Amino acid sequence: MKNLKMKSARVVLDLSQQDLAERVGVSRQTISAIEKGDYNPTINLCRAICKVLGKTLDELFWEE
Amino acid sequence: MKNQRYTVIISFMALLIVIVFFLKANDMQDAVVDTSATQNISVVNGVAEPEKYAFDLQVPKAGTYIISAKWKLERPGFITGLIVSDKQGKEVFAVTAESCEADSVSLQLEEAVYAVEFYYLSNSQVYEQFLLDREFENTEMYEDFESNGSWEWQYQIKLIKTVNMKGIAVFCGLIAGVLFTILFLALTKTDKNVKCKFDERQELVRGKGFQYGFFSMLICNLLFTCMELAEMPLFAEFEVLILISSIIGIGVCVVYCIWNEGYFALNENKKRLMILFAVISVMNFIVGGFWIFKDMVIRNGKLTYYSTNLFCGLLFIIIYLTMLLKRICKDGKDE
Repeated sequence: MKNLKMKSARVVLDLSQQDLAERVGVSRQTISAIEKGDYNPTINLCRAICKVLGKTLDELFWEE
Repeated sequence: MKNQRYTVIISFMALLIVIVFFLKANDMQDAVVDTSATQNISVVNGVAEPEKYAFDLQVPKAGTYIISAKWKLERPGFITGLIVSDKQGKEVFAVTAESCEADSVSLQLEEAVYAVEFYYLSNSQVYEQFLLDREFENTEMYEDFESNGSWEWQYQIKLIKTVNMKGIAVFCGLIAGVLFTILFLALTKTDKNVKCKFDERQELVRGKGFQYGFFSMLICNLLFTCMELAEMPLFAEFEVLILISSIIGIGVCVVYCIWNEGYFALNENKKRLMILFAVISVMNFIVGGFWIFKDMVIRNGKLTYYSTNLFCGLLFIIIYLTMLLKRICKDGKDE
């Protein structure tokens, strides 16, 4: 399932996939795979993404 | 970290110098024994006088040696056969020629006295017998025997101590390979670090890639083993089959990793890596082409180990094409 919440949070901050990837220390392809729903990140990576995007785990990764 | 790269480059250059030094040293080896003399040979009605000439050769120390023999006839008329044999009469080196400048292969000699015998083969019967006794094959029959005449015949025998150059070459080659790999890793990094950095998704992809590669290699090995057991005709020599299995395994692993974006490390310079792969591929094809030109690639209908460069070149071409294809497919898809 696509992670549109993460994508929109990134776009709001005017960050490209590459920018976000560099900040959390992963490849751009990994960010792309998370947003597309092709890859389930570990809790460590989720936390790193949340910190950069200024969101909580629930806001970004919890499915309602 | 910058020093790391320089250390590798300097080590690599030093090793190359050592290899060149060893190769030069091999050419400059001194003879342990160097003996020469002149003989007067006369042939009367096809019979040489004297029939043979013999002396002892003292090997000072057990080891690997080359026997270098040289003799010259201004005017041909008979054949000289040289035999070097040990105390038990076992021949360690034999050669026949009208005039000769030949080196034996590397011989393992004991610290002992060896017999050196020169036979003057002055007619076709003794010459044929000499060849038959030694089971010499593919030797052309000599047609120019002279029934009568006299010759001044000079010879020179050298005993040259050799070192195990093949062993040294293999060892240096291995070290050069390791250093080249480290140099390769250092040159393709953006942060001047040798170590590759992968993220968690890439680690997973690589793990799966290794798994597929390993099983592909295993299947190939099993297939070749079954073919061998079933006595089916194999298209290549044993070592080439092992190489083919490895190349298939590596190929599957790398192609899977590239296609799933787990091949390039986070700190890797892709452009530089692609250029290096292209260079390696071309270099392998050049060496492979050289062996094709020398007609060494196929022997008895089977691929020899001289074909390994071609397979390596092919592997790098496949990797390179996969990288290009992935790049083309990826364009416009991101974000």
